[in-house]
Amino acid sequence: MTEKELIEGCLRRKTHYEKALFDRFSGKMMAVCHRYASDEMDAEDILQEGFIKVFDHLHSFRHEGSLEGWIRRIIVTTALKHIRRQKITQPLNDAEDFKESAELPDAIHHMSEQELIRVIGGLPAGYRMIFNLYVIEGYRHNEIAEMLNIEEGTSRSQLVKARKWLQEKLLSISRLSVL
Amino acid sequence: MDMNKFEMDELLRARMRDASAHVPDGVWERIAAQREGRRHLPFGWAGFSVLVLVTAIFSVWATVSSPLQIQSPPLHDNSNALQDQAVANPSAPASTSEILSHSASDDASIEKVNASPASPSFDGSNAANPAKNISNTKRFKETSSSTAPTTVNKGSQSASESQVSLLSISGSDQAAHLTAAENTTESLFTQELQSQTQLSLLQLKSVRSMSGIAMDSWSPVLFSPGISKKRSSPDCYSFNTMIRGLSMDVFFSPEYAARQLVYKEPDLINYASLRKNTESYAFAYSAGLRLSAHFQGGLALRTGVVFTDIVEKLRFKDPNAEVNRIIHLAIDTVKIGNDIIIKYDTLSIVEYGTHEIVRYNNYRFYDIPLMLGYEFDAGRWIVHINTGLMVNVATARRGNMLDPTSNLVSIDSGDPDSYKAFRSKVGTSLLMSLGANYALTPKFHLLVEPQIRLWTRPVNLRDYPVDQKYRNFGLALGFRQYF
Repeated sequence: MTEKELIEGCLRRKTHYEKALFDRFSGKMMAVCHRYASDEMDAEDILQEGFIKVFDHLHSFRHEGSLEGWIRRIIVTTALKHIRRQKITQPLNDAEDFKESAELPDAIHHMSEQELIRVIGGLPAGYRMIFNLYVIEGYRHNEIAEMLNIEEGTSRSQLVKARKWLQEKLLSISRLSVL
Repeated sequence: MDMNKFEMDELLRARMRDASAHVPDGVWERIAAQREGRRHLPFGWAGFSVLVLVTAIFSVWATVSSPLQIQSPPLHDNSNALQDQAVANPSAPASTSEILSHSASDDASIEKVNASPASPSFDGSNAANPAKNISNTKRFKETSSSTAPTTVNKGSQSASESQVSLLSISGSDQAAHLTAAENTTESLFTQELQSQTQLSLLQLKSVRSMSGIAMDSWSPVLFSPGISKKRSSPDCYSFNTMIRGLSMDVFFSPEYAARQLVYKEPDLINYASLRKNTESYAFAYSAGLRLSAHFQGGLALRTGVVFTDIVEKLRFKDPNAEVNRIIHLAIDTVKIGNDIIIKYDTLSIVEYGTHEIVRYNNYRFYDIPLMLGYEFDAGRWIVHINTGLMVNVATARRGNMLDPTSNLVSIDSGDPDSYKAFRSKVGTSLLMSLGANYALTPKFHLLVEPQIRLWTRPVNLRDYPVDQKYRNFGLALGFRQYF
């Protein structure tokens, strides 16, 4: 079934087309949800809420980019709203001075995708959002600042701290694996 | 190994781009259930919105293009007063004009009648004071210059049309006559005024008789929103908002009740299926009494009481049914004298097997309709479009159903031990209808009204695992009595 057929079937509200679209993209989107959510239940909720939005707004998909990218943006937006609703954001202006390490954690090459997702998901909520948005989704700091209603500088500093946190985490995993 | 932050970002981005994770079971079922629940709602809301919009447009149109309106009660009273005054005191034309100017509608054509001064035969005073008459004439001319010429509409049978025609005659004739009077000699002017006054008196008699008809036998088919598009003068007060009359509808409506069962959790799909398979629509009906207040321009507000009964058939085969039988066995017979004494032993036997249960379940609703309608006449027919809410004031149930553990339970609202799954009030539902009345007599009409009713809330309680909603499609048949 082509992407176009899928979309047309969903627009006609045919359940089996909707199910096919869900089956095609839900795995990747679940990975996205895991990167933003604090636990499995939250990830499921985001996925469910996100796909309902996808079906509700599919008529507005203009075929200008990939369908997967469009769905991913909806899932990310849903995740951000979900996190905001739960008010689990970290205090963003931390005075602690982080210095980025130049050391490459070996673990990054050896870890599976699931393990990496779990590590990223373990980031403190405030860091996690900005790290995901900047590094994985490719948003710019000014866009992130607008999305999260924060200062651009805050976004930058949080990213530095997130990287540092992640590097330390990956390094510790690397050391444990060597031992 | 050294790496800069960009390399790390790239590495992570590449690893995460196509990362996939296991989707737990049940997510799709929850999405499907949620969408199923929402799927049917937009149609109802869209239909309701369209009807509200259509009704509102009709209302606005009817208000803007409100006909030349003469309210029966004030016209009746004033025409009486005017005629009495004219007969008793023919020398009082000034007050006659004042009476007319306030009794009639504020339309320009009415002002033409008002502008006609007294007959020379009535008075000496006004005839002796031509300046005042000319002043009135000028005032009339200024008004009539901005008014389209009216047409004579003789022979009209309806009272309202006759009223309009009368005023139109007076307006057009007077326009011609009074314009001429302004440019001719005083004697000519006096003659014209005399004929005018005679005409006015005739009209007043007719108007009085018309208003008598209107008062005594008000008929809903008398108005037409399109008679005149003249705007009211702000100088005179308007009767637009006054009630034209009241009516009462009594109706019975056989209905089809489409039921929707939506499970709230994927695990409950089996229970929802079980209920769907064991319960089916049998019949439904509603009956009610509705009072309507009819306003100028075709608007109507309706309220009343409506009783609705939805009957469903429960057919359930219990494969593990147990039936207790009490058997009395004669074990001995003793004859004492002429009496025979039989001794029995009582046995209780439990029989197992399949037991088919058939029940008819009733879901009853008592509602108060609050509706807005727009009506327009077409000969002996009145067509009306209605939309509004049904406010539920009470519900009642009788019958049985299967609970989530597949046990047969009672749902009787009067039974304190019944299964608590249903609300005592279900809030509001939306009602839309398109009806038609056929006038058997001016006051007694037959009523036919197809209608759709959408329940906005399920009839069950929130914690019941399946949402049970209805949409009813009915054909109301009855009669309407106008008062």
